[in-house]
Amino acid sequence: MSNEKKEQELIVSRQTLSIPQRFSTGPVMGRFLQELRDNKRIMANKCPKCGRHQLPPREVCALCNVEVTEWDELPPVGTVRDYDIIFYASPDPLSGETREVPYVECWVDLDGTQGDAPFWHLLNVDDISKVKRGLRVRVKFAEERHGTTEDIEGFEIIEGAES
Amino acid sequence: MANRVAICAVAQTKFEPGKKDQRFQGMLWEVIKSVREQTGLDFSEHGIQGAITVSDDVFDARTISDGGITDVVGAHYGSEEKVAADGAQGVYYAAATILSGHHEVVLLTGHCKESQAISRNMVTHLAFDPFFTRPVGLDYLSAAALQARAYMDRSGITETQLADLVVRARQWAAKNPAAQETTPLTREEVMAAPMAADPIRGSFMYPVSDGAIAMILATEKRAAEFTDKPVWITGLGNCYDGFFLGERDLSGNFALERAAQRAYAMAKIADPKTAFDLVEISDQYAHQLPQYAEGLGVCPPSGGNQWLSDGGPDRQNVNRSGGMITGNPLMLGGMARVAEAVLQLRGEAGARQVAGAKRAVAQGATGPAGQCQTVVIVEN
Repeated sequence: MSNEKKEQELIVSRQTLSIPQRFSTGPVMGRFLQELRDNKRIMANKCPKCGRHQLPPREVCALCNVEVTEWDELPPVGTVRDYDIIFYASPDPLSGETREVPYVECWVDLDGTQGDAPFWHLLNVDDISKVKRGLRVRVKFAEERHGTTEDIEGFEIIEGAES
Repeated sequence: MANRVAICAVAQTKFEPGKKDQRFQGMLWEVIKSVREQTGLDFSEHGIQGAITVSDDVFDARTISDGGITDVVGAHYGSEEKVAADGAQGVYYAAATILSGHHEVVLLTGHCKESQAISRNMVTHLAFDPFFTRPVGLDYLSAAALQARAYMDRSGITETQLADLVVRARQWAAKNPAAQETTPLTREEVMAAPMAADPIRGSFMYPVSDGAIAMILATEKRAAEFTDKPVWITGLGNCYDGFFLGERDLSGNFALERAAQRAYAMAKIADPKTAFDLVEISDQYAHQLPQYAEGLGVCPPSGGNQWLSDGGPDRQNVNRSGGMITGNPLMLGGMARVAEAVLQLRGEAGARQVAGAKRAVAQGATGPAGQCQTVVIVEN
């Protein structure tokens, strides 16, 4: 008699979860997206109490908890505050495909803001060794725009400009 | 209860089949603004000290659904805890937060946009386990249909009786500014609606609905600062039934009976048939009104059929709000029942006011076929 115990096969059930959604953007996020699409403008809203900008714009100032009704157009140029080089990308949930790596994501302090409205997007560069904090960058809008943040392709380095 | 918790203010959005012009943050802001105006409270040290929020990750389509609402609920740099269950459970949690001494003044909110997903049944399908019950296709509608069949078989309640409840619900909803489905229906129109999951017709189920609710709860000591019409929570109880439907008696009320017993013991209620000036039941589906009336003990055990025939719902002021069947999203059914009870006890229920209402019971349910039940007793 053998004492050898047959190992149990541990079955794994593979399933895909997917529920199509329609996200209302509301008047605030909706205006932000509409301005990107129609006017290639970056609009932040501005708290009437503390004066800080919010990007993305929201209904309420997170700090003061008052309704935010004022708007400011921000320039499409700024300075890289921080960045991240991605070598292992999250797959798209539906296609399962990933973006070509490595790619760069960055926070940009748009000119005229006080560090209160950083814009988060891709930093499109041909050479990742060029990426550093303090780079001067400019927004590149997409030719075809649909009212999403993909109406911006990403930031591009302004060659020769140092902050 | 040794210490009393007061509900000091309530606000509800109008419930609608699809609030296309608002994010859920926008719906919340509308009701939070209202309860803050009613009480004069802000989020300073002596104002609202913490938030209890009610929402669901899958309905909101984001993990940790409360993360996106901290701005509006004043929890940015502050205190917030989430209840991923029916809003009556949120009332329970908010009261416990106060009774435990964590906070004196709490903002309670709940929101849900059932219209956001292409089908709410796809959302509730995910409440089931992925191996045994999901492959068969269960969702809350089909679970409720199993419950309806079991209860109708046991009680002898007919489709005609359920149709008359829907007709009645629409009549009361027409008097409730927050209610969604206010168009009058005849018994024949209700009966002509297509079958959704036998024996539940389209007209026997709550409509797809979007909305939000907010409340301010406070200690007895603080409540007087914000309102001269406090409504006291005097009893709370909850109970979970089994997860797998096959382990439950779907014709009965195992969880609700126990939840009610706990709440009644706390509120020192001996006979629930005569204790309440009004009763608010989360009737997601028409059959649940008599079934849960039995579970709450507001009618005799197994007496739901006779109770309907005797005009029990009218005599005992059941669901003067119109009930959940006239439109509240999942997550907010029980919270809207508590909100109605509060409005009634404050004398602010307009054309549906129960004169001189002193004590009410509100019931909420979470999970398939009322798996988890919550009972809240309020008095003025």
